[in-house]
Amino acid sequence: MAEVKKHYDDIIKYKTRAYAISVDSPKQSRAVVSEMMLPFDLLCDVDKKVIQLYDLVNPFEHGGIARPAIFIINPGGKICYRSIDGTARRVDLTHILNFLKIHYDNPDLSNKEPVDKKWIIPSWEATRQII
Amino acid sequence: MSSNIPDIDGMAPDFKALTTSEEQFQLRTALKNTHNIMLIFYRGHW
Repeated sequence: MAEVKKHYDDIIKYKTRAYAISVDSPKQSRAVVSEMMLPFDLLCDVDKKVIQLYDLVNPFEHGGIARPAIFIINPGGKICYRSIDGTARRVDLTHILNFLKIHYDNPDLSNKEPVDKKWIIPSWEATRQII
Repeated sequence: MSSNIPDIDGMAPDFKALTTSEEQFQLRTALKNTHNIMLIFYRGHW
């Protein structure tokens, strides 16, 4: 999410708005927005209905949390980009930005290319939580 | 392993969820603003 924040002006420029969703409560999510000073809103799927609907439940962590993933949905409701990620291997935001740039001029376009992914190194804070 | 994760070129399943200000967000309504939506599923904060 820090990368999305860093490039949010570009994302807006390509007529796209971001929402991030997790099973956190509104109170927990407010803390995340505040700590990270996010320019976009977080959504709270406390009853896990959305992650079940999208078949993105990771049952092996914390009693069932979201598997990392990104979808880009066009104004007609069609999914034009998707990346299903892992805890340590995520889509490279550059790939998304390149897609958005092309999509801006070709609104009917869907991504047919393999998604570029990269390994992420967890922060000490995250590592400590895992340990 | 079979997966029911919505795929490219399919319609995104509509849903409702609370925002941080505890207002109701609905995907279908948000899309009416004629921009794309980047929907990021993340693990959360614990």
